[in-house]
Amino acid sequence: MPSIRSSVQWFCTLWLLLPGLLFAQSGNAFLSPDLLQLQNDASRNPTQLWVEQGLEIWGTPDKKGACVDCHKSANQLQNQVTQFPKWSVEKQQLINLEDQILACAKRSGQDYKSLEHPQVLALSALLHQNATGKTFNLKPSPGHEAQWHAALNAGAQEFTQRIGRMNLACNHCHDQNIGKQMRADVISPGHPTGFPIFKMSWQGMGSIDRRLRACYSGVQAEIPAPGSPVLRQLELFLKVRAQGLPIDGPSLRR
Amino acid sequence: MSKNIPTRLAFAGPLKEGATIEARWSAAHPMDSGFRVDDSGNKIARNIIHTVKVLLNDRLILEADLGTAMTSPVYLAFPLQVPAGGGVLRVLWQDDRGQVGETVQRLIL
Amino acid sequence: MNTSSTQLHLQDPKRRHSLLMAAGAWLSSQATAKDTPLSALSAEGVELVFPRLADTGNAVPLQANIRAPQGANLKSLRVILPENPNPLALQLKLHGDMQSYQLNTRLRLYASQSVWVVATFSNGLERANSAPTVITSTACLDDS
Repeated sequence: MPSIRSSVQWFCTLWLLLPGLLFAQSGNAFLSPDLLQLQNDASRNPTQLWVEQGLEIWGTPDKKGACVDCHKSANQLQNQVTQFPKWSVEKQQLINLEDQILACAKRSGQDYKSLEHPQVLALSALLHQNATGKTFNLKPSPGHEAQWHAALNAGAQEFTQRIGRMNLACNHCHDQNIGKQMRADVISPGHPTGFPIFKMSWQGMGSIDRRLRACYSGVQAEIPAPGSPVLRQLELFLKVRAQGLPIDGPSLRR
Repeated sequence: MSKNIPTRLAFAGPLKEGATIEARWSAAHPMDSGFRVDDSGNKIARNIIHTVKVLLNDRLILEADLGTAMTSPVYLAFPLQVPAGGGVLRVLWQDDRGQVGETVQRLIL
Repeated sequence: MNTSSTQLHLQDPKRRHSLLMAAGAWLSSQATAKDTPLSALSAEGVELVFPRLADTGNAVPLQANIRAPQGANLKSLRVILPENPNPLALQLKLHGDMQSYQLNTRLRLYASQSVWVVATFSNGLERANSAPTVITSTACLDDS
């Protein structure tokens, strides 16, 4: 039975979602004309290198691969992609798609260790590419609603918590200053529809986990370790906030 | 310990004998310039693709020396004339660690 | 990541001046086959497409359209970024006989500068052209 307190929390979370809904634009809408042109040209878009690599790793019925034996075609997992982060009973915390890829790979004898391993990102790029156009579909798994709601609220709280030497919360930029320029960048609402991303300043591919950690660095706050619960909670909140926006597939960022 | 470096080679233009087409080559090599530091502040050692050789039907048509100013992924697009009967374009690369790779694409008229 | 010191680094007038002096000196020292400084070479037949304002220093697209003089063809191309730590970005040696050539690539720039492209033709002639750009974030150091 939800208490008054959790109802208030839930109401506050809904309120926080409002600006995100008003500025329902993918990060791709904030790309410069040059980068947008590159994004839309599959023969030159750097992310395609990872998607092709993902296909190689996945395998086909005729050619051996790490995933095809269990999962058959990568296309069949479109709906699953939209459901992450999910509550993991085993880990007693939320897990995202890259966490799941690591777990699956380990089961089949490949210990990639890092969320940012090129092969993990390649598989993530492939799966997100196949899910292009689908909207996020985040729901608690039966029997774990309380944990899921608690995680969502924690994410909402983190989004509005001032952090770092700059003493800024996420909403200061990503709700209150959308469209304004910050050095070379134009501030977007921060909807996570384009992951995994090829970020020009990284000169490489990265997951949402890496990008969120970079945000902490950006406000000169202590950076959570990769895979930290707070990062998964933030991811859940961001994806709920982005509900209704279609997945873009792996995208370029400045 | 060599990493698998994905590459791609695509053509733009009419695949007709004598036509000039553009070959677009990309390689997802880290192209570490040696100037950057990692999260812990340690310098990331230089490792870039320094040489690229392009062979059209086994004939060397282009040799390139790359410096640290080339992006990651490397992107190089150059013209070539489609030979009679088409053929095979091979792009060979080598990096500072001695790792080599090859991207092959058929020119089918 | 200490971006404030990087910005100071580039905005400090003394540093910029000494960089410009060094770049100028380096350019002049780029002896060609006939010991002519690059800036003295004709730009005829070398057309560059380079953004005036680059989004990011990490991937600046360069297009070089080369037209060889009558009766000659293109033998080699050099792409130079004078303000980069390693200015020679790319050197191409051609083994064909192409009279018109379009090169497309992406470069990493350390600072706002002009890119120089030097073309050498089969008749020994050299031509060079440059195109300026302003970048808003440096490629070489920033990695957040």
